[in-house]
Amino acid sequence: MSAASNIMVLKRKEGAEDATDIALLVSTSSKEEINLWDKSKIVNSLILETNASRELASEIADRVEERIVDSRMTTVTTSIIRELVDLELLERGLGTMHKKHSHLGLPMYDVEQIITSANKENSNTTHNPESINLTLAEAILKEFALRNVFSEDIARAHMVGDIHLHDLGFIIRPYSYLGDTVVHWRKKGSPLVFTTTMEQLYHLLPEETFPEPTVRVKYPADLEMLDRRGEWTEIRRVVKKDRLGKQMVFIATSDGKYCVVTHDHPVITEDDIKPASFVEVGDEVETLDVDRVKGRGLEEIILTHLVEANAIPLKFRFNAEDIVMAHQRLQEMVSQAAHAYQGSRRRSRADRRGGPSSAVKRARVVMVEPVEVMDAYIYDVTTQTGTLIANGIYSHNCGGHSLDYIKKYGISLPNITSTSRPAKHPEVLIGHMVKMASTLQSHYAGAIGWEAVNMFFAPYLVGLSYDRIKQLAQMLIYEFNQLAGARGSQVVFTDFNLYWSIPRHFRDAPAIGPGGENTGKSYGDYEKEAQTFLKALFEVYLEGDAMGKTFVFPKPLLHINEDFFQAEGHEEFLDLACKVASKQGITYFVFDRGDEITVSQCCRLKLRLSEEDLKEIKTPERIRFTALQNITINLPRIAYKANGSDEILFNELEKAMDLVAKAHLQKKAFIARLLEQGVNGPLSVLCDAKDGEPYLRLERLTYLAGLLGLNEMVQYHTGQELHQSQEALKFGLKVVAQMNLACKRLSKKHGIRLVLEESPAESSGYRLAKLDMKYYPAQAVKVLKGNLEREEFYYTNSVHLNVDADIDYIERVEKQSLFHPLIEAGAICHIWLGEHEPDPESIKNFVIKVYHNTRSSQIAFSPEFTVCNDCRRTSRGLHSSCPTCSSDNVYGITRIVGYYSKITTWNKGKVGELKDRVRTDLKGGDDLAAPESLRKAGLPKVSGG
Amino acid sequence: MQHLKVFVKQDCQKCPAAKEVASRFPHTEIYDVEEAEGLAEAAFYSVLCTPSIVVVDERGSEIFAWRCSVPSPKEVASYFY
Repeated sequence: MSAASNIMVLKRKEGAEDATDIALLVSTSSKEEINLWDKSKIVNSLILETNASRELASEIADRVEERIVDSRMTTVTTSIIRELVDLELLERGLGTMHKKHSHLGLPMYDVEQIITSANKENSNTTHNPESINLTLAEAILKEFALRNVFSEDIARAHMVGDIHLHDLGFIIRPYSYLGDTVVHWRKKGSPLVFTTTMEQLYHLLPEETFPEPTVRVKYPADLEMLDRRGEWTEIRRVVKKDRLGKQMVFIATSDGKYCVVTHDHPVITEDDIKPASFVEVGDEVETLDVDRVKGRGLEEIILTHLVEANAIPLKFRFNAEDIVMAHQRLQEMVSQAAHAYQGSRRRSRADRRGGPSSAVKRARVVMVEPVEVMDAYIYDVTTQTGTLIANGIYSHNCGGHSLDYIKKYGISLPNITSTSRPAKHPEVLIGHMVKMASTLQSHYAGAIGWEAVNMFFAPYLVGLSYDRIKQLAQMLIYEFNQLAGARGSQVVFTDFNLYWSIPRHFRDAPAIGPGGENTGKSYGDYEKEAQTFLKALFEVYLEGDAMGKTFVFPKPLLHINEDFFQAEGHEEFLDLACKVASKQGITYFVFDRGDEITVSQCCRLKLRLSEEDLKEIKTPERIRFTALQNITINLPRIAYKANGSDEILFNELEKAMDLVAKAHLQKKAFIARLLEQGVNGPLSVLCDAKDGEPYLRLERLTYLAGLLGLNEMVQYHTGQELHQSQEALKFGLKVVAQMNLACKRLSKKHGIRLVLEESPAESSGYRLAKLDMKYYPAQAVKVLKGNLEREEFYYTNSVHLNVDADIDYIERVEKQSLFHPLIEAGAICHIWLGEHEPDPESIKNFVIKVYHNTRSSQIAFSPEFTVCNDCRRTSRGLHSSCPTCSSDNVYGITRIVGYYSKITTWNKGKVGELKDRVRTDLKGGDDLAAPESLRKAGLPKVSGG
Repeated sequence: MQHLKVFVKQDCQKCPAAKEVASRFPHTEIYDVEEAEGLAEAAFYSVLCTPSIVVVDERGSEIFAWRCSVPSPKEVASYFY
């Protein structure tokens, strides 16, 4: 027997072949087993995991065996064997193989720390067995993400703190999800209008045919679609094709028509039939008036389009990206080009022939442009008029989930073994909502937002007494708030979008009521019930919990728009909302101005609809969209690198934005791989096609670029903070403007929707500050905020002004809100109240003035509270002992970023910021014209932590 | 001394008209909102569309603005004294 065969291997089954084995072993750690040494296992594992050749694998296995024999160990763990194999790989310069083969895990000490000390990365979690499991899993997944999902340059940029990749521990989840509406269609003559994406429409139709291997066609019966002029037009067929990487081309004609087609799409011109990419400006192309072909004798033809060589009457190809381009940007270009051409164009043959008898017309091509789109599939919808309404909804982070989804479908999820029919009673609907939120939370890393909750509930509340409605409001809030009992006491981060007047875009939408049935009315008919429910919700928020403590979730986001001020009873309701803001602080005031109507919001994230789109929306069903990931840029770091040079600063900024886009594409590719596994894969819920489409639509994702520490960047670069001079403020605006333009450039380049957001930066603000103290200490100490000695330092959140700045709050809101239009994914201004409980009238005046006089997207008022563990009373302000019973067994609560949490769970950076926050009592806050009257006088700072 | 800040971009039909009106007044500054400098200045004056013309005083404070529209030279002149 050779020396090597005496070696026993103490195996911990890391080498188990599938995830099930590993999972079983993790849960029963006592089942260790002793195997005899078998060198071939190294060989097999190298071939399986790294694709090494058998020769190389055998050579490495021999060498590892030699080392083990030389070491005279009699027992060896599989982790030691793996390390020795890794060493061999590194010594041979096989870095890629090493990366694939390496081991992910945690040192014993770290695991002990996680078990015994609370994780303060997210103050929304408490320390308990479930959260320990979560933290351990996150630790492994973070490492996996940095080594497997992202490339080395991205991982390095994260690790050294140039950027911060958010939610790395949730790499297998998209960041959150939002809403979308694309085309509007219905059964012929039916009052029920569906608003879906092209994909949805396709998936909803029966009987797929495959005329070619990469082409699928469906022929709907009796469906019609809203066209661009708001008229109904018959859908002839819907085609789904593999795009196969084809370049798309945008062609516009002198009669104002346009289409986006693949470059090889055959187009009939006066001389020839040629591919779209060969079409030139000035070419004459055929267009067709379908109704004349059909002999319907209509006087006016709505719109015609390029015809295809195979004589299919109309062909209008586009996908979501095209929709956005065609309807939002290119339309303007087309009309200009057509206008410019008009003077010089000669009469076409069709013009010369004239007369209504001929269906075929000819028009001049006025524009041929290649366009960039990313979608893997191309969808064609052939309609009678060849035109469609396609809205241009902004797509962003967090869930604008429509309650109508569960009202209509009940609860039926791949991960729940039973199925519920649509709720018939409001209590059941609340139950469904909570379960759906819980399921979504386990699939998304970000917040779950619910759109127009009071409005969607309204059909269930008809004829109920106010007491009953209040009871339901109470149940809804408590159920969401106390859902924290599951999953490591982490509250489901929930946002309720709420409206006093039914939003215009929902007014005519058919209402879904008990049993998932249409009630025959529209949501506009339920305004009274919606208002009663809203009032009841705010009364519950005002009362707080059983001990009077403020609710942390669900966050009420009250939308304020012009209609709000016109609606009957709004003054009385605003009084109540402001009373809640003053007493409990939980009200968020979201401002929708003019054509800017938000349909979803969480933390500070918005989703905007244009006025034109809103006119066309007939139903809110199936609104959902997802932001894949947020990546924050460490702005002060860029200023340190630039060392005073504008040129370097803006160059570095561009480079950072490029890096952000690259990282987003890498995560997208990773999630796509998981989604490819379909309903049997890890993201089965997101692949579920309840309404004919996957819950998560990869082509509709939004990508977020976050900002952190603009104030410190500007301070280091210009010598002044944002609030200290107009020059500094303008420089800050220039930085954000540059980032905004970079987002547009990169979106176009990569075919993704990249937008700026104010990162909440709860943990990243501290992490990046810490890394700057490590790598750029000489520079960082000059601008870091907080207490350096106690390591309670931080960078100022996003584009916010220094929380310690000696300026009044109206001026603060005015200045900060100048940035808001540039930050498309939304922004917030915090008003820190401290122990003050301002007169609700002052809050009301402040809110109204901010709405009318600034561009602020959102404001929130944040009081501070002390909760006593002994007498359970909640008192105003932060105290070291209970003002009621003098017990020192107390804890403080206030808003950390976009939500309330216990201060004891905050990270050091946030504690430092809390101490610096200037508090206001809003006295004089109703006078915008005299900001001096709002000066800081009498606004105390908290002395303790 | 007050002067004009004009916000324009390419492919904007009314922008040439706005520039033409503004060119009749002294010290007019033209900003392209598709450039960082211009977009920043637009944000500073809460200009969200083109063309827009803002009359500012010597300290850069807004006196009057036509946002998303083109005023007549006469209208603009009424803010110059």
